[in-house]
Amino acid sequence: MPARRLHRWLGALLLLPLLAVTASGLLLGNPRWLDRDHDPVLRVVADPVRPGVLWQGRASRLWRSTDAGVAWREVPMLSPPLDVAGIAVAGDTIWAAGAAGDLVVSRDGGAVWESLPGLPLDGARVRDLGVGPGGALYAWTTRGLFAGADGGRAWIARGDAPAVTPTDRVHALHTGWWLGPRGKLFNDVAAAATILLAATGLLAWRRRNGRR
Amino acid sequence: MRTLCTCLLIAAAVTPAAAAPAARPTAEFHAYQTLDDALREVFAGADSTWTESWTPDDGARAALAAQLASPQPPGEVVFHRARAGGRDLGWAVTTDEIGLHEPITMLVTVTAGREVGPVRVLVFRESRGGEVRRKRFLEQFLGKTRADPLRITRDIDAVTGATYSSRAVTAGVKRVLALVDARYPLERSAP
Repeated sequence: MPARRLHRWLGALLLLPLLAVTASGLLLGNPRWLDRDHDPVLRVVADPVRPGVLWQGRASRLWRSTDAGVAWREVPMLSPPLDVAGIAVAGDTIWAAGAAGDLVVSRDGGAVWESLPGLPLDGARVRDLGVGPGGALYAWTTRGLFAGADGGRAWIARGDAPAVTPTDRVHALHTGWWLGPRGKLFNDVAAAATILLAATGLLAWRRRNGRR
Repeated sequence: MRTLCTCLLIAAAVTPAAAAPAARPTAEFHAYQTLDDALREVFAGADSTWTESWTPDDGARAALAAQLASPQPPGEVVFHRARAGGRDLGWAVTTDEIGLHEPITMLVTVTAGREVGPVRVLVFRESRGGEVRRKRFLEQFLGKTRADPLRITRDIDAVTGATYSSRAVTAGVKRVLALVDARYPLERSAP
């Protein structure tokens, strides 16, 4: 049966790219498996008041340079924001927002940091944070623009949220967010199961064909 | 194959994550344990218990803020104390730390040897992340001292799907260690 043989061989050949795509997706979703100190820089903002001071948002925490970026030091604080996606500076007041909407503020130039209630995003992500004259605070998120009130303690959505595109839905499906925050775990388990099934399937196929 | 594709497309079409309107997640309230119950547990075997209150003055609050890089809220701090057979069982302090949107109320125990004792989550108000009340997470703090980093991913493993709540509990433990040291400084031996 040449058709069946062709089907089997094509199946076996396709296993390799399938395994590569699944395994690399699993590793991309869990970067610490390959690099335990994985801590990418997500945002850099120059302090408009203090010359030479730069603020850097990383996956784990907020960092600061006082020599125009030559050396960086982690900013100590009790509850550091994670995946720092936005930094805004107005005088001695500095806000830093994590991608999930967690927010901290310092009112003394960065010595003492207070945790504020996070932005009402419910699964959406912060893209950037900005501050205007008079300390008017804004956050651009995947749910649209939010205006901060009371120094960032309250947030009001401005205008309509961006329309959900088919690509957004596919992205939510791909990243597991269609199942909420635990979707990533579901995706990881599904990827591991796919790899296991592909590997055991290949072994079974080889045995059936008389090879061991 | 066609059935699989149809299922995937339907799942993508009804997925709520990307489509839900902007709104703060509804605040929930889960009182897992009363303070009295938690104190009975953490001070099991105590033959006397009492409380001591302390209202840090501005200087003490500033010192705490500098140590923790986080402001110490104004107001009274209550230290629950206990003794068993003449032996000091240490201190237990309740503290609130913001998770992602709402404060988490926890009871943190510090032994007479200045190590972290049992930690209990008393009230949880977030819509997600209540798994931090589980023993497996809370037992990581046992025996930690101020010399430990007490940091997620370094010496504390966050609960999957509850990273912000894990961070808040870790911050609460750090704060209570600092409060105990500020109110009851170790006696220094004479030179």
